Amino acid sequence: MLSWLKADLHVHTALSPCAEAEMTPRAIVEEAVALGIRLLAVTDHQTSANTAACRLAARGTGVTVIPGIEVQTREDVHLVCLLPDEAQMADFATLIESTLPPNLTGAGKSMASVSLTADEVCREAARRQGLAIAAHVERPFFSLFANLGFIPAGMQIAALEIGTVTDPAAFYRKHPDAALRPLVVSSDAHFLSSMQKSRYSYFYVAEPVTLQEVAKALRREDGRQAKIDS
Amino acid sequence: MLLKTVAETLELHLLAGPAKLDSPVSGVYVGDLLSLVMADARAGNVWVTHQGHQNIVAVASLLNLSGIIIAGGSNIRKEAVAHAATENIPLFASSLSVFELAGRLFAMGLRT
Repeated sequence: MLSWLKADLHVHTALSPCAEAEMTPRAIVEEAVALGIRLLAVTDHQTSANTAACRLAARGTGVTVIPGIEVQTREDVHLVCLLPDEAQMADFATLIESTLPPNLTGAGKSMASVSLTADEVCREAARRQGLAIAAHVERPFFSLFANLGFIPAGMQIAALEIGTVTDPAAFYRKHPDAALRPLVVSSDAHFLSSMQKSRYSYFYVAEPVTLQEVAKALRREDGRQAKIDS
Repeated sequence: MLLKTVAETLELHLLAGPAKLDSPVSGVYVGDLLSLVMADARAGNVWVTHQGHQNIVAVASLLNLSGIIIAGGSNIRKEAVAHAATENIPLFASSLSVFELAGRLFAMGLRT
């Protein structure tokens, strides 16, 4: 049986240096429950070290946590990469770690770019049954359109993420090359109160929901669908 | 000023597009954010950038730029070189920094 699940596929924990200390795994899950969010992706900058704790915190709550990571590519493009399970996530995170500048630690590491191109990051995620979403594409920096001008030919990008205040129709008018790509709305929350938004993404999927279900919904396969609040 | 004069003076390393070295250079644009380049660079400009992604070739082709100089010995993606060869866009590498390249181009009289 398929049902609509409210989603937020881009949330930071306190592990991201730019996020508030209040963004603990338990607090994030509790906030998701309060907001009726059933599908959550935890995506810290260049690390996935808190995804397992978030999955643990979500046990029995009805919230599914998808392991994720927000990668800053060679061109300073931000990509939200989602992986199907902890093992694939760990493998992908090891790759990301190994392509960061070796001389940096802590906050420096999370602000640096990997040596992989945006195209390569998408390909590496896909190789691990994961998917990549271009993060906050309407922003004038750290975004696919700002940094690379348009979607590179052949890039394996599953969706484009917009913020709550961006009008989807206006976005498509501005970027005609994006017209065939699905949009998702995510909070990119760095503090708890910013998880509450006026617009959300929803996925029409089978439960227990997996990343494969999300991917199918974005491709509109097998009756699965994705939509955003108008 | 012709592109080949710029290339010779700055000792640029040509990676692709040798057939268009006689193109006139109208001025210089410096930048790495392709959205801004698409908005602000002018036809005939030589473009100095760190950006080695293949999308630079499409941008240069779209705007009729005279050529692209990848500064600072940045690693250029082989896809970009192949794409530039196909599109016949002059693509150069330089070990000089963006600052040095811009300064020398200005000193050569390219002031727009």
